[in-house]
Amino acid sequence: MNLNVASFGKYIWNSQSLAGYGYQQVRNKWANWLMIRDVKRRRMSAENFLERTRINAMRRNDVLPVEIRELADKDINKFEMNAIPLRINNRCAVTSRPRGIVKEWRLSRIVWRHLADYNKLSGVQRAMWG
Amino acid sequence: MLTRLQMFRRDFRIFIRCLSDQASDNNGQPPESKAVGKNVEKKNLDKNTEKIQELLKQMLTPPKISEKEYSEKFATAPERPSKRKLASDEIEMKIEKIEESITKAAGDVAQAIGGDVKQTEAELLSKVLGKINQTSTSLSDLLIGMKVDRTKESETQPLSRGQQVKRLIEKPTTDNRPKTRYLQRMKKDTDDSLKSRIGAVQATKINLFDGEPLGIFKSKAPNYGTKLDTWESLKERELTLATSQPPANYFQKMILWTEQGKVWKFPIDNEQGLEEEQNVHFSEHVFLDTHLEGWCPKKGPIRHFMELVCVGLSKNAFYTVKEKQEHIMWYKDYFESKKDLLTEVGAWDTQPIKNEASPSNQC
Repeated sequence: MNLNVASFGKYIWNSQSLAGYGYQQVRNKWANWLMIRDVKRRRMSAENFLERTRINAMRRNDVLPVEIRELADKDINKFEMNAIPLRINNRCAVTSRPRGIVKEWRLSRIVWRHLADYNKLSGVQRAMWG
Repeated sequence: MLTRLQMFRRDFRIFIRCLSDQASDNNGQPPESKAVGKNVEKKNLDKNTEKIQELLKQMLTPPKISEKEYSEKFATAPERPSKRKLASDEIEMKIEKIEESITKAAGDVAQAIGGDVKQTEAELLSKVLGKINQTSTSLSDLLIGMKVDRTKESETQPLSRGQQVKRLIEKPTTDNRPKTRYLQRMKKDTDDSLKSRIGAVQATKINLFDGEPLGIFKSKAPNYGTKLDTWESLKERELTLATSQPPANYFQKMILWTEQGKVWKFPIDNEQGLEEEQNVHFSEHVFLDTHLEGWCPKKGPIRHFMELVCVGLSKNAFYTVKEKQEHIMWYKDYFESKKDLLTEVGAWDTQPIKNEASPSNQC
């Protein structure tokens, strides 16, 4: 019973769809719904990655007979659209800004600059010349 | 206030009329005086009653000090609107009026019946009021008469402030009742518990830790199957923080970083932290054709494709051997599920046909 309750709590915490709807409002770790959508796409593409790449490999060659490739074409359409990795959008992990991302830190340039100013990023040094 | 009292009076009169089935004809006159007079007549005026009458007369005379003078002479509490007190007064008046009218009614009834008038009256009253002894008729009458007289005193004129105060002071002494509801309840409870409820209380008293345990829960287990991950992690963190000390110098800091896996351990090994694949030979990563044996056709497009897959996997540095195997086995399952189509196309060749078809496929 207690375990069930605990797992239910975890479910509420981890699922974006429940947060703020029907239940007590939950403050989660995502900045806005665009970020939540992106997280969902990332999760789904990660879940379906192996199968999708295998089927895709059968589609994208001229070795296998055409019938098999057509079958693979059909199979790949059975996946959800959000499982397509192409839909993943790089966003700032803090502010969910879609542009100006410093890729290695997955932060927008503004957040990155702010942290760097306060010496919060290891290995980042202010440029000095002249 | 007065009008309300009159209303009450009328109500009681009606009530009494209903009770006694006798018409009372004292409209507009204070009924108490009449009742008193009757009582006095009946008893042939004992000395006691005379005394009482005198006292009553004295009380009826207006007080010598007017209210203004009184307030000037003595320090009085500031006036405040106390509805409650008024209400209690009203109730008291009501009760007194009831008693008075009951006595009057009893007297009337006794006269109507005839015979020993006093005796019957006393009996009736004792039946109704339930507190006066049957035998002591004279005393009961006297008491009732006194009560009636008091009502008269209180009703004939509005109470002066001093009298009100006096009454308020007297109240707790005369009737030993606590003022507030809470105190009343408390007193009642204590009395009851002392007298009647002792047995009941003792019966309901339960000692929780006396009985034999069912053995459902083991007292040793801290949280009956509940796992509190956050609490545990926090507890652990607190423990480590309490026990560990910050590094005194840079060497200690380096040691700490090494323990935390932040820096390389000596001797330097490129495969540090790859424990999962430690005992796997690299040939298993590279030569994956062995997994094709037994199910893959020897020649044809499927074989070609699978060999390409194996080459790709052998170059993949991120998959483990197990994952590579799973990858190949997935293709095996897939092609076997599509066996019919493949044989129809001619890609999934059985042994004899394959031998025949091999020269055509070779180019």
